Amino acid sequence: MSEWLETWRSPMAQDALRVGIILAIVGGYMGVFVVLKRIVFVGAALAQVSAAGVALALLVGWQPLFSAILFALAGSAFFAQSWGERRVAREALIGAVFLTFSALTVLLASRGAHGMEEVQHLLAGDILAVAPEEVTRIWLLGLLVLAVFVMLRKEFLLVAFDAETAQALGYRTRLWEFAFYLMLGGFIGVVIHLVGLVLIFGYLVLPALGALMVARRLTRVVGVAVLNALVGTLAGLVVSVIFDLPTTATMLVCMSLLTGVESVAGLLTGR
Amino acid sequence: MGEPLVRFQDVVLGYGRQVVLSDVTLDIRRGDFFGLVGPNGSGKTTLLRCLLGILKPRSGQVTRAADLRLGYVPQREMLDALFPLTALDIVLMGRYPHVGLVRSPRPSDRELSMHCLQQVGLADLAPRLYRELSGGQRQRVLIARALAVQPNLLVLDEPTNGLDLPTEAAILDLIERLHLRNEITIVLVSHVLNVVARYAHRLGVLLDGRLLVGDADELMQEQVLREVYGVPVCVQRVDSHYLVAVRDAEEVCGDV
Repeated sequence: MSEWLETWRSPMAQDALRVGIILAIVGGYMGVFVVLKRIVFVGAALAQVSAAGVALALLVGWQPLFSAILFALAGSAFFAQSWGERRVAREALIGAVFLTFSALTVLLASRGAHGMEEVQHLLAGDILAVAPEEVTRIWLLGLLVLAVFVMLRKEFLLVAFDAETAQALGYRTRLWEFAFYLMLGGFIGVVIHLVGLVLIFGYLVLPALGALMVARRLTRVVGVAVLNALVGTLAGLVVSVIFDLPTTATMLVCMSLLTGVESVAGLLTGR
Repeated sequence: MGEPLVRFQDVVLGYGRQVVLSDVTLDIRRGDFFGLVGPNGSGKTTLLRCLLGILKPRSGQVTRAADLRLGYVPQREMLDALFPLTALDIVLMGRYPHVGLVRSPRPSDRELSMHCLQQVGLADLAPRLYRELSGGQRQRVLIARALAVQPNLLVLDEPTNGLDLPTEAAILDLIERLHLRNEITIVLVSHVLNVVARYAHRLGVLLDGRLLVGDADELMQEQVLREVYGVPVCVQRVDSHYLVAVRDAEEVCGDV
């Protein structure tokens, strides 16, 4: 027990908890919009584009954060457009981007000093390995994204729910779509090289999914999603420390369990 | 009829290289109840998008009155009922441009939105989720949202699509009431000729990429409608209502 407490009190675990909290708040909040806008796989594709940016940076000696954000923003600009959607479904486009950048990530990483180890890190990440100096940076950027998102939430909501009426009301919906993807891409770009693609994707999908099953009003859905993400993060960290399990996977399993329980509860109570 | 709220002069509309409508000349005048009809794919949506300011004309001019306040009621099938929004949440959206960026709706916006829900007979359902409402109730919510803009021009895109007969009649009566009591100019877009011709004073009929505009009596002629829809039709008038029916080539209209 004392050994566990010691590990838990270590700066490494405390930093992971701090990073997990801000990821949970921002990811839980944005995830509600991602799920409602039916762009779950855009989140995954953006994360993959961003991962390719990190792989390229590591190969050519750029700053990974800079490269990840740059790639994520380019991906955001791409997804904010409506590319040939009269001929092909959007899902096909998202799939193509995901596959292309997955392959690119592997190719770039295979030429780097750490090879496939880097690919593994980009995919699964390790929240326990986040450097202390990164914690403040993630918090500041996370709070910035959150603040902008909260301030513009009603415009994002209107454009997501009814873009045509938004246009008729004078909103430049393409600009708003771009702004939304910019926030999403920026958030993913900032954290991808620290915690990995899978965890970010998990934060954007699982908490919101559970929340939508149990809460009825949008404000409550957002609140429950953030709470889900926080509980999943904390539970995942604690369980992974106690049982010496891979942290990212444990956090995701905890969030999935929570989502599963909420889904069953939602179905049973008819919400 | 008053001065124009929106004026189209020799307008050409299209997407990319494709021209959809040409030589569109039309005045939507204050106090008008204008019906826009045409078969599927005739360019109704294109003209509507231009009226809403979403699509810019390739040539020609669209002039809007300085005091134009446009309320828009989209086709309700276009909206995603997955969103956990109440009827009041949706009506409040009509106030967003007035509220401004960053700010939240004020109590006065909520009061006005409730008043709009009351006007469409749904005040009791304000806290109900949109997805739990019937088709007719959803349509009323969208009309209430358009009213929350405090419009002098209300544009409705296929408001009776997919509704049963009594609900369709109730929605159209509501629109007519808003037109008469609140003196709101109406543009009603529909592919159902009977619906539009019953209420509209003036009609716009889309034919081969062009817009024919006239009074309902002028355009509700068998010859005109035969050209528009490409099939023989019968037009009969019962009280103030037009009834239009497709007939076989050899049928006589009285038998239809």
